[in-house]
Formats: sequence, structure tokens, C-alpha cells
Amino acid sequence: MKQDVAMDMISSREKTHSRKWSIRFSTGQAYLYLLPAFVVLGIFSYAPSIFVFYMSLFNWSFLSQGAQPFVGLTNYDYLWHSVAFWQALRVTLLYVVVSVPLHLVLALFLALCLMSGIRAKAFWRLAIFAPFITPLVATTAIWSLMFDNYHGLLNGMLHLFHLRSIDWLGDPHWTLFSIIIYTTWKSLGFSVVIFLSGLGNISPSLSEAARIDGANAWQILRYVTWPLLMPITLVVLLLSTIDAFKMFQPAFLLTGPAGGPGNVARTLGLYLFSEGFSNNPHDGRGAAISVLLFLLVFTISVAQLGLTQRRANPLY
Amino acid sequence: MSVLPQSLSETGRRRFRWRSKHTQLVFRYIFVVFAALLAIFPLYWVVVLSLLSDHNAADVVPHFLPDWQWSNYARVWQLVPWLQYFLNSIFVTCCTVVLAVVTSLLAGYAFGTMKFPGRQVLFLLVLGLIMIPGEATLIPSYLITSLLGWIDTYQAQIIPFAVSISGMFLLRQFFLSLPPSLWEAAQLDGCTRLEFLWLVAAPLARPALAVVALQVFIGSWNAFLWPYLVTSSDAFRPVEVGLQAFVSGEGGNDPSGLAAAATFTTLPVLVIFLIAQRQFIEGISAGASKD
Repeated sequence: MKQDVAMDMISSREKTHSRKWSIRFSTGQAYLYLLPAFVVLGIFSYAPSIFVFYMSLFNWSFLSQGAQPFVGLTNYDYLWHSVAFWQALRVTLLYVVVSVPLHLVLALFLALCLMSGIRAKAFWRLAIFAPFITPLVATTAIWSLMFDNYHGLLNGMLHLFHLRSIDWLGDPHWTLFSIIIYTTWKSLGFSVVIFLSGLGNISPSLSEAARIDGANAWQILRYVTWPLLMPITLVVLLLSTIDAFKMFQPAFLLTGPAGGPGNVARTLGLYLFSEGFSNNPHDGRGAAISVLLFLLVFTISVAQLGLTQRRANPLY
Repeated sequence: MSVLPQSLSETGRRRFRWRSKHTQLVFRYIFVVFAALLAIFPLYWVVVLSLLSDHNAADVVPHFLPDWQWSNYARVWQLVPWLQYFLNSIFVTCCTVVLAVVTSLLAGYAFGTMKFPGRQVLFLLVLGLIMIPGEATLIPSYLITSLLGWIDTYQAQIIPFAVSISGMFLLRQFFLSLPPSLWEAAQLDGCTRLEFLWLVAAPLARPALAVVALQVFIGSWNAFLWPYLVTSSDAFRPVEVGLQAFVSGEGGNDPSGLAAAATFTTLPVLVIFLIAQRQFIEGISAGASKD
């Protein structure tokens, strides 16, 4: 009898022990599933994001061997007093201020045009989306050919209409604008698709109800569709603003590392790239530019996300 | 309808509404077709240019119909080791797709179906990555890669892209929508978590997995900047970097040759996209509307 009780106690203790263990194991297991992803992110996303701050305090150079001299905030001080940095900041802000609204308005307008009643909608959507999928290098090569001053397609067309030709990438007044033409062409389809999905989620019965109440097409758009679309609009705004702030591969491929004549298209991204990877690299300085770019993007994203939180559901 | 004069009769009003609806539709068609043509036209034109005769390619007046001079392709193919570039791209892209799908599947599964301390924090940590521009971490990432001794290797082009953040979101979203009773039933049958993932959850997630694979494929094939930085020899260079070298080298004074190279390097990704475009576009829509 005693023995049985003892056996029972042991087995029940074993049971709870094993149960506890299995809970702990399943918790541990979750981390095991996350491990591969976080190892990669840790090495190539988190570590660099932290290390970039550290690097910016050194006179770092990939070419020099051995210890890198610590210089404190000298790199930031240098940037504060450098013409090139302020110009790059100005170029970046100009690019953001022009390209983002243009992008947003065109994408929304096209999505509204495509929304309903159009035949072969999938085909038009596919056509508008196609540039987004086409590789960057190939498309910038195509557009360089089109922008070419002598044999380019665009000047050829201007020539056909007896208009004066434009040196699209060579004339400093046009360089950044030409890049905006290219990036808008390249990425518009992505936002159109996102807007279309947002519009598709709005129940048609709402606009139908408004129509029955006597609202016209503009009023339906202004007072029904637009407020309901606000969360998606903010997503597109956030993504395209982040994209615009960090833009530099198109500028690099279309105008080279200097960013065209007089560096008119040298954005912050291109500036940090040319500082960090030139023949005489200033990687500490490049890291300092990276930090500033990072803080800029981060601040604006948080501000926009705050806006999203506040305005997410205006109707409910 | 507020612009309508009140004196209009009911039929007149109806006709006005009918007509304005139709003019609206006509304008919408015009804008859509115009936008679609603008989007497609450069792609069409580059194919035409790649098939123009030397004389027409150098013409100031634009040509919009091809001369079918296929020798442009043969000429360009000889100039640069394209085959090596293609093999490199194929290898890098395949490895990246497999690894990214596996890591995103495992992480998405954990975030979507398991409860563990720190789940929210870890997920926010992943979310925060959207706000860190990859460009801003270029210099330290390069440093880490060179410290690992990975400059001019395949792994330098594969491992940094072996996770797909958007894929993780998509799969997490999918697994969140999976009914918990499924896992409870499987548990009664003695299924472990891994078996459940392998036998039940992953097969159900196949459409989402296809979207992730496609996104990673296109991202990896189209990648330029990072491979451009970390490769220096033809042995490891992918197609896009090879194309860029060609553009700034031999191709610079050869518009039709450049157009031919741009065409045949883009063809694989465009074909794959056309085959799977519906899933791809819908995957983007799903990702956007659920975040």
C-alpha cells in the first residue's frame, strides 16, 4: 500500500516535471524557429545599424590596416561645415518634395481610373506594373539611351515636332527632373497595385448608398472613398517617402557617382556611397552621413506612423 | 448632382447623368491606356532598338519598327562572358530563394502560432527594420562582409538576403488565420510542432510560400548595388553587375548592342513574372492591406 502511494507520488511528480519541461521546451522551440532568421538579421541588419554609429566616431578607412583612430564628433563637425553635405541634403529634400506627391497623386488617380467598369483591367494593371519588375540596371540603361542628347529617343521625338532638344541628363536644370521621370515610371505600378487593393476592400454598398442619397461622383470620392482609403494612402506615403529619402541607385546608374554636372543629383545616399567607396575612402565620414540619413528616415517614419495611428479609422 | 439646374425634367436629368457617366468612362479609358503605353513603351522600344541595323540605330530620327538584325545579339554575346554571369545569377538566386523561404517560413510559423515571452518585442524589432534604409547600413555591412572574408564569393550575395521581412509578415498573417483546432487535433494524433508544420501548415501555406519565393527571386535577380560592391571577378559576378560593366564599357558606344544586352538579361525575370504575375500582384496587395 505504502509502496503504491510512493510510486504514485513519484509518477505524478515525474508528470508535472515532464509537463513543465515540455512547456519550457515548446517556449525554447519557438526561439529555435526564429533563430535562423534572427542570425541573418543580426549579422546583416542589426549589427550594421548599431555599428554604423560607432564607425562614425572614427576616422575609419577600409584601406588602412590596423587600428582606426578615434576622432569623436569630428566627422559630424566636418559635415556641418561642408558645402557638399548641405547640397546633398538639399538635393534629397528637393527630390522627396517633388517625387513623392507626384507619385502619390498619379498612383491614386490611375487606381481610381482602373477601379471599376474598365475592361481587361488585369491587362492594364499588368502593363502599368511591368516597369517595377524590370531590373534596375536594364531600365536605367534603356532610359540613358532614351535621354541621350544626340541619338536619344526623347530628343528624336522633340526633333519630329521641331522642338528644341533638351540635354536631359547633362543640363543641370534637367538632371534631377529626368531622374524623377525615371523613378516615377519605374515604381508607379507598385503603388497603383496597393491603392487598387485598398479600393477593392471598400464595400461598394457604401458608395451606392451615397449615390442614392444624391451624392455625385466627386462627392462620393471626397466624402466616402477618400476617408476610407486613408490607411492605405498613409502606407503608400510612408513607403514612397522612405524610398525617396534613400534614393541613389537610379542617380548612380543614370549620372554616375558624382551625380551629374555640378553634383546636382548627388543625394545623401549617393554622397555616402561616394565617400565610403571611392579610391580614397572616408568611411567614418560615410558612416556619419549614414547615421544622419538613418535619423532623418526614422524621424519621418515615426511621425507618419503616428499620423496613421491617429487617422487609421476616421469613420469608426 | 448639385450643379444641375432644378428646372431640368426627370428624363433630362437622367440623360445628363447617363452622359456624364459615359464621358467619365471615356476619360478613364484614355488615361489608363495612355499610362499603360507609357509604362510599356520603353520596354518595346529597347527590343526594337536591339534589332535595328547599324545605320538605323545611329539615326537621329527615331525608328519604331525592328529591322530584325539578330546579329546584334550574337555580337554582344561574344563580347562579355554572359554565360558565366547567367550561371552565377542562377546559382545565387536559387540559393537565396530556398534559404529565404525556409527562414521566413520558420519565423512566420513561430510568430503566427506560438506563444512565448518576448513575442511582441521581437516582432516589433522586425517591423522596425522597415524604417532602417539598407543604404544607411551599406558601409558597416561591407565591413562585416570583408571581416568574414566573403568579398568576391557567392555567400556574400546569398546570406545577407536569406531572410524576407515581407515574407515573414505574409506567412505570419497566414498562420494567424489558421484555426487553432487544426493544431489541437494534430496534437491528439501525436504530432510534434515540426511535423505539424511540415505535414499540415506548410502545405496549406503553399500560395503564400509561392508569393514569397517569387518576391525573393525577383529581388535577388534584380539586385545591383550589393553584388556590385562585393564582387570583383567575373567568376562571381551576377548578370546585373555584368550588364552595368558592359554599359559603362564596351556597350557605351553601341546602342543596338546595349539594347540587345538589356533585353536578354531581362528576359528570364520577365518570363517568370508573366507566368506568375497574378500571384505576385495579389501577394503585394495582401501584404499591403493587412499590415
